[in-house]
Amino acid sequence: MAGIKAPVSEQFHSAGQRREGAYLGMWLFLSTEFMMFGGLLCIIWYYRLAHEMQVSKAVEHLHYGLGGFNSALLLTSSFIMSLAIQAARKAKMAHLRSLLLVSVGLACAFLALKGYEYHSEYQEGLLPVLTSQAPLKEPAARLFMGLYLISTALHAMHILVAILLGAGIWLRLRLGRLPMPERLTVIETFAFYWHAVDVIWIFLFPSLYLIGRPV
Amino acid sequence: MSVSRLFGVYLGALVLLGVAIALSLTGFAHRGPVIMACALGEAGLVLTYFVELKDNTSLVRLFALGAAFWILLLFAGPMIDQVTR
Repeated sequence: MAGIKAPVSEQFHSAGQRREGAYLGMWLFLSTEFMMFGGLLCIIWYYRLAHEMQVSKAVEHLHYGLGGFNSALLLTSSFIMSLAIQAARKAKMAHLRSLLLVSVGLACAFLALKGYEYHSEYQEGLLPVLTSQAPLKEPAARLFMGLYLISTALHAMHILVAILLGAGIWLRLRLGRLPMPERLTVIETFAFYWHAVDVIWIFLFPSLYLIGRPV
Repeated sequence: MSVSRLFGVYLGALVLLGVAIALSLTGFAHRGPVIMACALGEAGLVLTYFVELKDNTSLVRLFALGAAFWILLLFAGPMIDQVTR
């Protein structure tokens, strides 16, 4: 924030300029992430329009309840991460560490639930390559399950990276190697990534689980 | 940003999620666009308040807008092909 006094490297005039540089760099990175998942979403939507009925048969088998609960978990973790940023700005270190840990815990719960979902889909014979996909008669429905697996697994990998980064930051905070608010930019840019992973899921969830679900 | 405002944004996003799930279980004819509008609303709330785009400099907001513009271009090409066949 503008009022925070912190030493800056010689290439920056002020802490505000350094912060803006960090924000811009992070947004540039996040743009590439959004473009990657945007491409996947584009394929999913094009495929949905081209094979509406067949995709609907695949969507019927997906566990929208688990996906919806996972969406709520990610939204909650984003909210908690925002509270962690507020704590970091006020240098409430114990509070910050606790909130960070809760966020990481919620992301772990997301992954655990996703793992359970994959397991049940494996048992139902829905997953491509690993199973025969016998419940899905149409080739287009089988291919949609391939798109589902690629996009959700790629997203789960991003969640895993976020968990590892979060655990690393928590450890550095615990060891006193990230003084706040002087190193606020570190946790702010990390939170950007956290929220971006949430935003990606916000679009993946309805695109895969909800639209075209037979009533 | 105040904790109460952040909590309000969180509740708003949860309500939009609930509406999207509930709509998907109905026979409403135009549920697809409405469900995606709910998702856009959720993403808007997260980016505006949790990512704090609202309080950022114009240059940072321009970068974010740039990302949205490139995604729009990405979607526009294939969709033009689809809707003009």
